[in-house]
Parts: sequence; structure tokens; C-alpha cells
Amino acid sequence: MDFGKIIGRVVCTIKDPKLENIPLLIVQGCDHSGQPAGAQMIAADAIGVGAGEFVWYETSGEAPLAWEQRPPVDASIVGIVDNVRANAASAKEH
Amino acid sequence: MKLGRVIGNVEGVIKHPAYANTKLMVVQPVDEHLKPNGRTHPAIDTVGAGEGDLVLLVEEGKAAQDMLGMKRIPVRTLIVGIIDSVDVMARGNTGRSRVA
Repeated sequence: MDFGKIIGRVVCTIKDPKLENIPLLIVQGCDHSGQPAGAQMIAADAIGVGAGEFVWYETSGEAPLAWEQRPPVDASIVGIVDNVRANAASAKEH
Repeated sequence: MKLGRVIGNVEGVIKHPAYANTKLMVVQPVDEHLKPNGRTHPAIDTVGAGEGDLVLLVEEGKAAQDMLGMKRIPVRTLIVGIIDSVDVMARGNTGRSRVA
């Protein structure tokens, strides 16, 4: 699971039927503070997200399980981040 | 599985039902010397981990389905343990040094 920012979307008419009416959004991977980290990708939107939203998404074999028809996707957006409380300093001390 | 440090938590109302009553934490992956190592990411806590805890992370759907008791869910990243201690062989010498 990773944080990401929605930076765009793609429209695709000729596609696998199981992808019908699933929005395909361009996501920039981020860390918890919204700093870009990691790749950009196309993620299937399972919850109805707008541009610019800060989200979390799940990848790999579990991504299609957000839909009954199990579309051929390997990343699905499963939550919109309202607030992150984090104290990065606690990552340093051990 | 991986080693990580919980550094906070995530709140979000609009989410897939599988995440409805879960506790989502922010985890900083750490290396064997417990130094930050990689990008922070969310993980569902199933063992009551709090900020500052060193935790055991699993990234697999079946484990998530068993732990959350739900079938067919888009979930695979879980905190399944709180680490008490870490013993690491110092590079280049056979002695063991306790790290945490």
C-alpha cells in the first residue's frame, strides 16, 4: 500500500470489458507528507476520486478485488487521505 | 515480511468498505540498523501498534483476508507484530550486537 497524488486521468474506449466504467487515473507515488516518491502509474479508481486528491492505493494481486468482476488492474485507489498525523522524528531514534 | 517503524496514523472517511473500521498507520521502513530505508507508506494495524513502535509488516492478501475476516478485499499491507528486540551480526565480525 502507498500514498499517491492524483495528477490526471486517461480515457480508454477499446479495452477489456471488465474495465468498463472504472475511472483510470494517473497517480504520482508519494510519501506520507505528499512529497513525490516512487513511480507514476495508472490506477483504477474504486471510490470516486477527484484530481489533486491525496490518496492511498493498493497494488498487486489484491488490487482487482475492489470489484466484483475482477478487472485486469494491478493498482486500485481505495482511500482518500483526510489527515496524516506523523512524527518523522520517531523514525530516527531507536 | 519487513521491519518498519510506526511514525503516525492516517485518517480518511471516503474509502473502500474493506478499510471501514481499520486503524491505518504511517510506517517508515527501516533497515537492520533501524535506520529509515525507503518511502513511508500506510499499513493496517492489527495488533495495537502505536507511534514509535518497531513493527513486523506483511504484504499479502490471504493474510489480510484472514486477519480482517473478510474475503475478496483490496488489502495486503498489515502490521502483524510489535518487535521487542533486534539482534544483528555486525558486518565483518562474528559477534552479535543488540540493536533495539
